[in-house]
Amino acid sequence: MKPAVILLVDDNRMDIELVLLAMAGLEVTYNVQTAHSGYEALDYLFGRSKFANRNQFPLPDIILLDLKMPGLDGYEVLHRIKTTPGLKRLPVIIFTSSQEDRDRANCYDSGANSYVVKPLLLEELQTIMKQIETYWLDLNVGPPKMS
Amino acid sequence: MMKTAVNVQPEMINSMEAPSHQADLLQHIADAVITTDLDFNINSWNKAAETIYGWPALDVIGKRVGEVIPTVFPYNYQETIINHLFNNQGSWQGQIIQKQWNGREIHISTSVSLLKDSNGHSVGIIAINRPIERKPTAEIRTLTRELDRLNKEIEALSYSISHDLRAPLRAISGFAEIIVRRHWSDLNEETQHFLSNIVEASHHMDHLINDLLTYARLGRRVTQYRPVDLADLLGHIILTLSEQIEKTGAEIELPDTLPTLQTDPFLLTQILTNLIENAIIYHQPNLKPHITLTCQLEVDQVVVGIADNGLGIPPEYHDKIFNIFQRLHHQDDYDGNGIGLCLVKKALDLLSGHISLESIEGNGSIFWIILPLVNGQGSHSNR
Repeated sequence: MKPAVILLVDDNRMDIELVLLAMAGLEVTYNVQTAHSGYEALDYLFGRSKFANRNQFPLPDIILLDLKMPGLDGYEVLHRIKTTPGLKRLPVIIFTSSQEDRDRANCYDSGANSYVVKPLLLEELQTIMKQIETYWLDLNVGPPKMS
Repeated sequence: MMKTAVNVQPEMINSMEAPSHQADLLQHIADAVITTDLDFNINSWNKAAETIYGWPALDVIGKRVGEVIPTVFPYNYQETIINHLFNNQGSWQGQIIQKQWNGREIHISTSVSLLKDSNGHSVGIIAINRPIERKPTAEIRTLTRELDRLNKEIEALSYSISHDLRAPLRAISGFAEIIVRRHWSDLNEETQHFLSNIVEASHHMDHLINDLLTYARLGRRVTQYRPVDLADLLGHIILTLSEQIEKTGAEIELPDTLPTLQTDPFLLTQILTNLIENAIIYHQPNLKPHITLTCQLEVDQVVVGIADNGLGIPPEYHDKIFNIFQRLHHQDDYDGNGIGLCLVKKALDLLSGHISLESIEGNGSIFWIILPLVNGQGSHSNR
């Protein structure tokens, strides 16, 4: 069975590195793909430019999406995902520093499936990654694959 | 009109059902006319009072006026009235802010006088209340615009802190922790010490950012009143502080009965958590923290006391401690960042309450929280 695919969208390379380090400690291996901007995320999801090869860059099982990114931010990416027929059912977990009520409300209003605040401690990050794995990739029954 | 109403005799006002011309007149005038006995229990409540405050007469007759329509401003309204009615000229006029049935505040122009019987003895009090239209002047409009602009700036700043300051901090903390985990034994003692300082400082900064954000958020929140079981709320707070309680061996003594209050649970949680946490943190060396909580329901307010056996606060700091970033102790000696009491003060301001302090250095402190009672609250429940 192919490993589950996680698309990690974050403009901060150090945050990406920390998430990858935290995930390295998990028992199951995942196919973690990264996009460093909102534009790259959409290129990946639409299979464009350097992500054109679907075998190499398959549609993800879940998306971890940062909110504040230069250019195309997380809100716009979320909006595009949730209004595109082939993508709208993909579970999107907002993964952000923001604890603002306004951000939380806007994200859920725009169709986010979950909202997780990035922790400070590496130990907490590992716990969160483990919980995401347990819930979203193990317990949760995802949408049927779209052709 | 107010002078005329003051001369009304209590028997006439009490006999609202009597087909007298005067009683009819009182029922139909546009001002709220409320009479009470000398203990502020409502005897009569005309139609305008029903319209202005939203409470039907049937629901309020016999209740204390402060319970039905809490006065937000001036805070010591009843004391002011009593002082003027009995010690001065027998009447008082002024502008006050009261709460309607739904908790909404209204500005009122009031005239309060003593009611006397035919022998000249005081038998009750009459208040004639009229809502004031508060049309903003040009100056107020300018100030409002300026306030809006400043609020937006604060909001943008706190949003920026929330996002932008945390990212580099997470990297500093995260990578320092990875070095600690993976390479600790390779490092000499001095490097280990420096690295520990980096980790500790980054945790401290995270707490600072969180508290600053909470402080900024308080001002932007709309205060939401609902019934709050104080026993439940304190139980929850003690649970969140359980790690510190266990670490210090703190004992927290609660009263057997605690009321249900009509308040904003988020704000009250901020107030009580910070005060109890401070009482735990600032304890005497070699003495376990002992915290005693008391709660006293009064006519129109509730007084919560939080007493500890801790370090105490020198008198010259009794006011200063409520300022932001004001610390009395070194960070290395006691945790804390100087925001907690400032948060308490701000939350109390939002609830129209206030705080006072009794403390002797080296002999513990008592913080008194005073909250106005809002209508329909004050019931006691056994724990």
